[in-house]
Amino acid sequence: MQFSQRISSTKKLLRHIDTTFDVVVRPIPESGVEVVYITSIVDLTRVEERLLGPLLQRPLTRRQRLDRWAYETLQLGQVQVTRDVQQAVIKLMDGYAIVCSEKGYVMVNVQGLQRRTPEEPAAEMSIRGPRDGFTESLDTNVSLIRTRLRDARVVMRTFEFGERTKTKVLLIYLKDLANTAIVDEVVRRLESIRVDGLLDSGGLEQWIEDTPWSPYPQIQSTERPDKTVSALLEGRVALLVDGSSFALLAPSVMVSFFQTSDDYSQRWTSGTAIRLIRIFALLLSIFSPSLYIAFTMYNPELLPVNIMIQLAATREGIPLPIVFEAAFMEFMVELVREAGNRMPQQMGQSFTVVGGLVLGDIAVQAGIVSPMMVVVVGLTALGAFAIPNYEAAFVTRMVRFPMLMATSVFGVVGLLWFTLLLFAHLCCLKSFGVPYLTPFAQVAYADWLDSLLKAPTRLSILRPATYWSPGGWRRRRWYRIRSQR
Amino acid sequence: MLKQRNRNVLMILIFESLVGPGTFEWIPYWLAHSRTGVWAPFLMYVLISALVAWVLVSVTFRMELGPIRPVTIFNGLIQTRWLVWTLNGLLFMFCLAQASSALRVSMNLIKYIALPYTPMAVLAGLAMVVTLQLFSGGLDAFLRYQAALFWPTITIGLMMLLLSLGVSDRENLLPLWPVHWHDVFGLFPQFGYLMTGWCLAAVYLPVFRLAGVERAPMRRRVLSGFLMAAALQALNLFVVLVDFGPYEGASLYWPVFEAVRMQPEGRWVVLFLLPVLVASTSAINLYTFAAYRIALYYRRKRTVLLGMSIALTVMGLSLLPVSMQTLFHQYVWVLNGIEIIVFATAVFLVFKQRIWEGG
Repeated sequence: MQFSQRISSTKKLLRHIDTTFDVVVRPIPESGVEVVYITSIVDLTRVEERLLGPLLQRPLTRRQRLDRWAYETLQLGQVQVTRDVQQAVIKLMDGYAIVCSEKGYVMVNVQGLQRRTPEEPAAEMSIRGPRDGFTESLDTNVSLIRTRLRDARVVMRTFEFGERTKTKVLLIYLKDLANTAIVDEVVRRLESIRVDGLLDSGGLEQWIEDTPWSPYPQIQSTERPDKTVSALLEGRVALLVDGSSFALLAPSVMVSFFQTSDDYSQRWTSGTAIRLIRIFALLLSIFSPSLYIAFTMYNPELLPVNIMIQLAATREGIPLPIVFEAAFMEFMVELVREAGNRMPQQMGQSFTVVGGLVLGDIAVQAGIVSPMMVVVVGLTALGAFAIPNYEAAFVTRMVRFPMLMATSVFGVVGLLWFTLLLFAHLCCLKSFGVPYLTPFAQVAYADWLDSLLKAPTRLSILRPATYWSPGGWRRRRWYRIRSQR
Repeated sequence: MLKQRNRNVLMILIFESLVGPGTFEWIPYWLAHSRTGVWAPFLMYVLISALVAWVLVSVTFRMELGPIRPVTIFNGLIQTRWLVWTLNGLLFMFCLAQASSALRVSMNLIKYIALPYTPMAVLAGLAMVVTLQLFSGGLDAFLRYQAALFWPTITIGLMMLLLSLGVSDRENLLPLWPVHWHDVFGLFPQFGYLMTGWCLAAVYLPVFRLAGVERAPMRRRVLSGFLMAAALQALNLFVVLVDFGPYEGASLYWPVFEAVRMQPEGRWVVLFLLPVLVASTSAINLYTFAAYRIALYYRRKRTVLLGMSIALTVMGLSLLPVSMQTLFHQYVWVLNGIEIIVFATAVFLVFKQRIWEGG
């Protein structure tokens, strides 16, 4: 590019940009203006047909005001005029075309980013619920929410993060349902972040959570727009990050990590049964290796004699103590799982299954571990996979290791002690001021109907107060139910 | 907004205060004195406790709430500063002593049931780690711990107690009418041991008053919590009596555990440690946290050192006595003495305002 030939405003603009390989400067000599845009992030058809075409047809005269000329000439929705070069640079990086004139800059939205279409979220499959999931495009994600929530009281506030990435973050909440104190706290935390770059909602989550030292996630992430809308209706706030297909929901309580959209699509009996299975899976995942150790090492009297003899027989010739056996197998499972995650999708799935089976079988044949331990570890892994939220499942798996150690030293007492310690930790946790163990911690029976159990829809006509919504514990579907009678 | 300091939580707190460490180690002594007529002193204990509950709630609502939030009922009722300081100091000592007593009792039980060779100091350390974790979360985290564990614990505990009725003999309850009434009345001084939990009300009731719990709901919930605790105590007494009879029951160290152990499913006795451990940690937390609150009120600054020093004091006091007998001999008279002072002051304050000031 020949900067020296440009008009002064274009020179000023280009001085802020170091990489120019995809930057195009198109002079319009008739108007005395130049159009600057980045080819990789704009829609070239729009640029040619809706921007350059009209500019060539209606040149800017010396007496015309820039803003009036821009609004009359350009048939595009988002047209802004500024004299601030910094603002123009930010917009240019955002996929806008900048019309540079001696009178200022006209910023025209011609974004044409390459985005994928909504697909079913891989991490949160649904059987009966909707199949669309968030994508990396903020606009697409907002449209997915807007199509489900046609309420004028939806508030969307934009924030920008990263000195360099200028990532857009959208805070969404319902004005009359979200607690203003929580919204203010979210805004305060967002405004306090100073980072070079923000690439994903996971990074943002770690900046704004209450207790960064805790292994437990304090903000829920989801790829599902229906789940996000449901959270908004409960008075929670959602955060969408440009470039991330995960929305963040806050505040979050422990129970929310074990609920899925499907629970609400099914009859209450099925919903309750599935939730109970998940709770059982959680308990199985956390406690089964530790209980196995406690039963075999410290309290064999707890098992029926036949099973005890069988267990002793299977352990014959195993050189490792049970604790090491358990720790070794748990580590192997985590290794196989992690390796499966990093491999290409098709290969990863088969590797996980085959790797697990083959390794388990070989370990038993080699006499390193007992067959019962393979069963226990398998149950543990299955239990963890039944937990719907990835972060919650991961913590559950990790918590097993210190629990294993405590049990191996103190037996059942160690297991109980570690459980109580974990519980004490959970009692100390909060998510934006809302206790993590709500509604159990406050003994708020009204909200128990939709926690571990899924009560019949007609019984749960109260909006939950769990998330401190000003509309909490008020009837929400009363009108509809009465009209049906 | 869901308030942490609500009336349901208050009920649970009162229940846990009165149940104590959940080991029911007082049962043998009561059976030794009153045999099958143990229901009579128990009924007297219930009536006296109900009266104490009424007095404490009344006192709580006579408090004047000034700019400084009262930490105990005495702060809001007594103007003489040195007197308040003395009473709070006694309450502080009481809480430390009772926490260490609860800790020692539960450690002895764990050693008896599951870990005979583990040093006491290690067990005490483990118990206090939970308390220290809660100190970092503050009062509300502590209340959450107490409230969230309540239903699972009580469900498991009750199930195991009901299972203990599998092998029982109802004739062990006879004769129902006490043979020697002087033995029944002789148990009167022992009521204090069961009523130590009421002293905690002096610390925790103002918390709920400040949180906006009204007088009538508070009275109802305090009474409900107490009646639930009394029902559980009665059930334990009943289980021991019908399973062992008054003589054998009086000679056992941990009769409730032995009752579970003697059932066909007796091998599960170690699982009965779950409700007992929860009850024990709850009791230890309740007393330690009460002491911490009083100390914090005068120190005015929340520090890790303060929490640590209280936890270490409790640990030290629990390890000092050589045996359970020494523990009872050394601590119980201190506890009962302070308890009498607290209750007497509460009664005096109610009647002082009612009669002399026409309150």
